[in-house]
Amino acid sequence: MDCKQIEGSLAAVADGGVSPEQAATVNHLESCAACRQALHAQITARTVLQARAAHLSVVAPPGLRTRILATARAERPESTGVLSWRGRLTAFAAAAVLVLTVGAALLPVVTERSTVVLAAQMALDHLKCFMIDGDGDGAAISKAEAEATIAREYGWTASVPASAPAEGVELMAVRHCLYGDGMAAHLLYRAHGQPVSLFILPGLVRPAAELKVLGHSEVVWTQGDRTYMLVSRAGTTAELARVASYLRNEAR
Amino acid sequence: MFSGPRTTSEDSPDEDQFSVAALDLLDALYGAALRLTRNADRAQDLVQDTYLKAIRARGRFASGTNLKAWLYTILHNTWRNRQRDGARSRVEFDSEAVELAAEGAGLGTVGQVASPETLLLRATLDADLQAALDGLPDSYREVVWLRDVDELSYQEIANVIAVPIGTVMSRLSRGRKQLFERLSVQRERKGSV
Repeated sequence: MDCKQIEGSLAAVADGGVSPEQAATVNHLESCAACRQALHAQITARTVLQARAAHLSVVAPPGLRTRILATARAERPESTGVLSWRGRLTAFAAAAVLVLTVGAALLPVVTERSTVVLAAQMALDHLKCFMIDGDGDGAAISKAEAEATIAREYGWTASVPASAPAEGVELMAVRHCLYGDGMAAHLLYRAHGQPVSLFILPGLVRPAAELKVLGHSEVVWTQGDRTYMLVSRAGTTAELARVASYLRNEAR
Repeated sequence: MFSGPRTTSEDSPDEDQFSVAALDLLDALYGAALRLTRNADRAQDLVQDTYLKAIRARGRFASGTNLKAWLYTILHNTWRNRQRDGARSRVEFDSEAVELAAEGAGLGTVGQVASPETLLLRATLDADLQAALDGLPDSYREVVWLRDVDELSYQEIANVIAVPIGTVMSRLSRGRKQLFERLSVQRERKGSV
């Protein structure tokens, strides 16, 4: 795979979809800094547009709406047609609801993914989360606040590792991550000033691992039936492993 | 968004539900027409023509699919036909040439942009974003817009602009990359750190 070949699938990866079919793309990204930069550029462009979509829209001139309405009335079919359209559109609305529901269920099924693909997804989520909102208002939050947020947003409890000045670790925010059907809890920390994400994925057991994915270091471990993934764009995997060791002990 | 038959309306109870659902999308359609025509009068004309065709062809709209994507498809088809009838060679030559030029210019420059994405995102003003979008080649801008603003699927975009899905994805990649580069350059010019 060369840069040209993965160009198109880079768009799909930037859209947040790292599917098993994109394993080759992920592999290429490991060894190609230029494509990683291109991926970051794409994610940024998409994120900016999504964030500003409402501000970019235009409003049609009122006269245009009036003229089209007049056209529509002139073209209105006989009453049978109207009735059939009503039925059709009711079905359309029902289908829209169905699509939304199925859409949520079709979000990546975590258990079918390799750890590397999963790690790539988390690296993208880490990148996006910090790009969109940074890590809150810059003030650390308490362990109790974070645990209450998780209980409220996800409906399950977790022991959240607190800030620890001696370890250089600060707990900054909790995010509701849409990944995995909204199941993965996303905790934002700073470790020695650098942003790191801790994802908690319930109902998933993965072997412990330390890996480099998409220019990010990741440390993966499992406790009980939950997988924890710690992600950082800065520093080495060994440095991140030290942070992980503190978090792992605290999360028990 | 359309959400079932309306029960309260100043229109008669027989008001055509399809037209109502379609008209909810008027602003989006007008925006698309402006991007294509770059002229308010021609945009209005194009939108009106699009609605007329859509209302006549309503029986061919597959319920449960994306009405916006369907209307966009009609709008783009109508626009393409007009171009064909009018200044065919000029328009097609332009868009092709721009695309080729952009391809040459765009590749390989991202790595030199040093500004962190986070700062870029926060510092970008709406006007700057609009200017950066306006600066993209038409073929790239439309794909980027349909995907990142309108959230159409790749297949829907392929239908709208009548190109293969692979072309959609490569244009999307290049368009986003160019947009990023333009935003980064703007930011550097403004001297922000």
